[in-house]
Amino acid sequence: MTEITRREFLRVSATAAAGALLAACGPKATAVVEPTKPAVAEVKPTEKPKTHADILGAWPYKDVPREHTLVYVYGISVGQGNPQNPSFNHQNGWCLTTEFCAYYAAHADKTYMWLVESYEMSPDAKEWTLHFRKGIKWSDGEPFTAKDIAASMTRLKTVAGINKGSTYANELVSADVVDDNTLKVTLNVSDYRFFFKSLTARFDQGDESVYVPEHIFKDIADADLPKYQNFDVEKGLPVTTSAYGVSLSTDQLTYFDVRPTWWAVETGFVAEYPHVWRMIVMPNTSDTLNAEMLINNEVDQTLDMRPMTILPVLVQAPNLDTWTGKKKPYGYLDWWPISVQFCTQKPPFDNPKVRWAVAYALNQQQVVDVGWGGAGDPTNIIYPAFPKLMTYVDGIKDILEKYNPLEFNLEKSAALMTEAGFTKNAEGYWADKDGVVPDSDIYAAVPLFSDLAPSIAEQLRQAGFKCEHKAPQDVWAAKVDGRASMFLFGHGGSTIDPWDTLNLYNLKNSTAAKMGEQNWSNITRWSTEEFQKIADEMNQTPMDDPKVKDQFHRAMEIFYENLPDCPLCQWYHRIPLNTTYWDNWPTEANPYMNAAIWHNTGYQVVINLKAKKA
Amino acid sequence: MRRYVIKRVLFLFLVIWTAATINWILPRMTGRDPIKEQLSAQIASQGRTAADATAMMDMYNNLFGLKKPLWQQYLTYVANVLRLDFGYSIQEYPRKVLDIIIARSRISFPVFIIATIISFAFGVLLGGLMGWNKTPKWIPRILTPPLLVFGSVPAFLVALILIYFVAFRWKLLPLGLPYDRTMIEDWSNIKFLMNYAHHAILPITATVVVQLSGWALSMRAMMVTVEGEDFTTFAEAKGLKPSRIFMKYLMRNATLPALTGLAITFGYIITGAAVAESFFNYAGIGARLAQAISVFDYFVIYGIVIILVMCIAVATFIMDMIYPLLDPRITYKAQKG
Repeated sequence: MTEITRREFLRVSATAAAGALLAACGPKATAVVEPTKPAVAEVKPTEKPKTHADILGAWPYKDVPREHTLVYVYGISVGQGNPQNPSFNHQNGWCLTTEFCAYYAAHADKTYMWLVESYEMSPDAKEWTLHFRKGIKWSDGEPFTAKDIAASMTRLKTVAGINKGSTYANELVSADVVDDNTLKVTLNVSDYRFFFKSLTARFDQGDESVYVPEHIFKDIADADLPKYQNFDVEKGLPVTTSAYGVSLSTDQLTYFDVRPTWWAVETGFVAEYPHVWRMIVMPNTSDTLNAEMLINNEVDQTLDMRPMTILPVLVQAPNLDTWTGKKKPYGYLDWWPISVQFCTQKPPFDNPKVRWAVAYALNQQQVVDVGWGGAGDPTNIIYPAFPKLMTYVDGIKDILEKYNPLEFNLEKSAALMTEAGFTKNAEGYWADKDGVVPDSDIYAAVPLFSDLAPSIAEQLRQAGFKCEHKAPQDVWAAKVDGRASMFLFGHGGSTIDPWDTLNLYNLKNSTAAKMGEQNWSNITRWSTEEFQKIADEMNQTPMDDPKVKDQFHRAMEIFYENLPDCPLCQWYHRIPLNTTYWDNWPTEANPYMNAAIWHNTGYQVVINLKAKKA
Repeated sequence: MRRYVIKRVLFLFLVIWTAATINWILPRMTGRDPIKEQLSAQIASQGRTAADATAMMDMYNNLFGLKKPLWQQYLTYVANVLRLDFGYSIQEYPRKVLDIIIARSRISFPVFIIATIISFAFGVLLGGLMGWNKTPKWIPRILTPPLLVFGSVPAFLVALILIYFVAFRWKLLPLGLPYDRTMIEDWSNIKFLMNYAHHAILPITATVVVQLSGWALSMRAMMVTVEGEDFTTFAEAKGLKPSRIFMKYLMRNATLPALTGLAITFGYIITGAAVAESFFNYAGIGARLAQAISVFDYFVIYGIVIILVMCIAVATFIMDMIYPLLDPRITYKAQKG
C-alpha cells in the first residue's frame, strides 16, 4: 500500500473542500427523473445558428458587443444620407450605405461584379446593356429594379449641379428599362469606359448618385433635391440595398448597423451576414489621440498617419498591423501619385525649359528620405504603380531613359535656366533680363504635405529658385485659380487604364478659364493639340485594345518633353489596422481591396472582416 | 437710473450690430470664395470629379444667394441675425447653422462652464489667501511657484500630459470623447449624465489647472492693494475679527475686477474650448468654429461669432447692472450738485 504523504492529503482535502463549497453555493439540486433513453441514437433537430438579428433584436439595435463593433475614426457627416446632395461625403462612413454595380481592387487587378451580374456594350460603345442580379431588394422590402437606376440616371442628366452628375448630363441620351433586371443605356458618344468610369467603385471614384430608390425619390421635386437629407431613423431612411443602415447620426458619433435582412444573403450571393454588426464612426482630431486609442484597442482603424507617427505606434503595439505589416512603407500604394505641378500659363513656368530646370533641381529620393524617413518611393511617372497600369508603363521605358525627371543635376538645371534667359542675381536667385525674380513659391496643403514641401522648397532654393513653402487656408483654391505658380498635388486619374490621367490635361479645359478664375479640370492649364488628339483617340479605343499601348507611348513622349508637372513620389495610405478584434484586413498578401474604409470600396472591406473574438 | 439702463441697452444693441457688420464684412474682404474653396477641397480629398464642379458652383451660389448684390446680401443677413437665423452651413448643407450651434454647444459648454466656475472660485479664494497678510507665510511660498509654472504652460500641454498618464497609461479615466461611444446622447437620462460627468473629469482638470493660476495670481495682487486701503485700516482699528475683515472687506473688494474678468471669460469659452476639444475629441462648438474657418464656411463663422459677441456683450451688460449691488461706491443715480 502506498503511503499518502501529508502534502497529498492536504491537496486532496483542499480540492474536496472547494468542491463542497462550490456545490453549496450553486443552485439547489432538485430531484430529476432521467427519461428513459431511446434505444436508437437520438437525432437532434438541426438547430439553426443564431444570426445577428436573433441576438440583437429589432432594428435599430440598442447594444452591440465590442467583438462585433468596428470603431473607425475619420469624420462626421450628420444625417446626410442623400448621395445626390452636394454635401454627401462617402468618406465619413456613408460609403456603407451604397452598393455599386461593381467594385475594382487595383492592387489585385480584380473586378467584383455586384448589383450587376453582367453587361454588354455595342461595338461603338454607345449602347450599354446592364443585367442586374435577380432578387435584389431595398432595405424597406421593395424590389430593386432597373427602373431605379434609369430614374436616377435621367435625373442626373436633367438636374444641374447634382453630385457626380456630369457624365449623365454630357453623355446620356436615354436609360431604358428592358425588364426589371435589364437596363439599356444609350450614350451620345462612344464611351468605352462608361461602366468602369461611372458604375464601378474604385478608391474615391464611382457614381454613388445613381443608386437611389425611385419609390422614395420620386416624391422629391428636382428643386428640393439639394435640401433633401434622406435621413430618418424611424422611417428607415436612407433606404438602400446595402447590408447597413444608419441608426444614429450626431456630431459625435454615427452608427452604421447591419440590417436584419440583406438581399445578398437571402439570394445566396453572399454566404453569410457581415461579422461587423455595427460600425461606429468618430470624428478625427489628432494623430496623437488616434495612436493612443489604437494602442488601447479603443478604435480599429483611423485616418492614415504620417510615416513618422505610424512607426513608433507600430513599435509599441503588437495589436496593430498595416498593409505591409511592420515594414516600410507601412501602407499601400494609393491611386494619387504626387507631382510638383506648374501653372503653365504663368511665366516663367510657361517655358518647358524652366519646368525641366526645376525637375533637375529636385532630388526626389532625398525628399522621401527626409520627409518620410525613406518610407516611400520616388517616382518618374504620373500613374500609380498598380499592376495593370504598369503593363503600360513598361512600354515607355525608352522615354523614361530619354527624359528622366528623377535625375538630380544642378548643372543641367542651371544650363536650362541660362538658356531660358535667366541669370543669378547677387543673392544667388534666378532673375530674368529685367532683374525680376519670378514667383517660385510652392503651395502645398498641410498637414497633408507638411513632411514633403519644406524639403522641396529648400532644394529649389539651393538651385537658385526663390522658393518658400506656402500653405494658406485657401491653398486648394489657389491652385485652381492660377495664383500658385507651383504646387504639390496628386493625380486623381487612372487606376486601370491610362486614359483618365490623360484627361486631366484636356485641351478644352487648358485655357477654359482666365488667370484668376478657377480651372477645375486641368489645373496645370497645359495641353497641346497633338496630345489631345491622342487622348481622344484612346478614348475611342476599347480599354484592353493593344492600340492603347501605342497611343500611351505617343502621349507620354509629348508629356515628358513638355513636363507640365514633375513626378515626385507615389502616395501611400499608411493606415493602422487593429487586429485585436478583426481578422482578414486587406494586406499585401491578401489584397482583395485597398484597406481604407473611407473609400467607396470601404464597404467591401467592412463586409469581409472576420470577428476574432466572436 | 432708468435713463442709464435704456442707454446701456441701446449701447448693447449697437455693439452687437457693429460686431455683426464687421463679422459680415471681414470674410468678404479676404477675397476668398467659400464655394470655390469648398469644391476645391472636395475635388482634392473626396474624389469629386472636376467636370461636375462648374455646375455645382452655380448651384451653390444660387442656394446661398452669393450672386446677389452685396447690399441685398447684407440686408438679408441683418434681418436673419435679428431672428437668430444664420442660414445653412455650406459644408453641411442643408443643415441649419443654428442647429449646428445648439448641437455642438451642448457637448462642450457644460464642461467648460463648470471648469471656468471651479477655476474662478478656487483661484480667487487661493489668491485671496495668498495675498492676505494674516496667512501663514509658508502657504504662498509653497503655492506661488507651481501656480507661476501652470500659468505659463499652454493648456494643450497640460491636456497632453494628463491624457498620456491618466487616461492612456494608467487607464483611470476615459481617453477622449464626451461620453462612451456606446451611449446615446440623451440629456434626460441620468446614466448618460453620469457618463458625461465621468468623461468630463479630465478636460475640466486640464482647464482648471491652467486657468486657476491666472485667477489666483491676479487676485493675490488685488488683495495686496486692497489691504492698504483706508477702510481696511479702519476695520482693523475697530477690532473686527480677521475672518470678517478677510471676507467682507478684502475679498469683496478685491473680487470686483475678477468678476468683470469672469464675465469676459465666459464669452471666450468658445474659442478657448477649441484647443481642449481637439485634444479630448469633443465635437464641440470651438472645434466647429476652427473647422468653419479652415474651410471658410461663411455662415457657420457668422453664426458662432455672433453668438460669441452676444455672450460677451450680454455678460458685460449684466455685470454693469449688478455692479452697484456688489460695490456700494458705484451708483447710477444722478448726483446732485
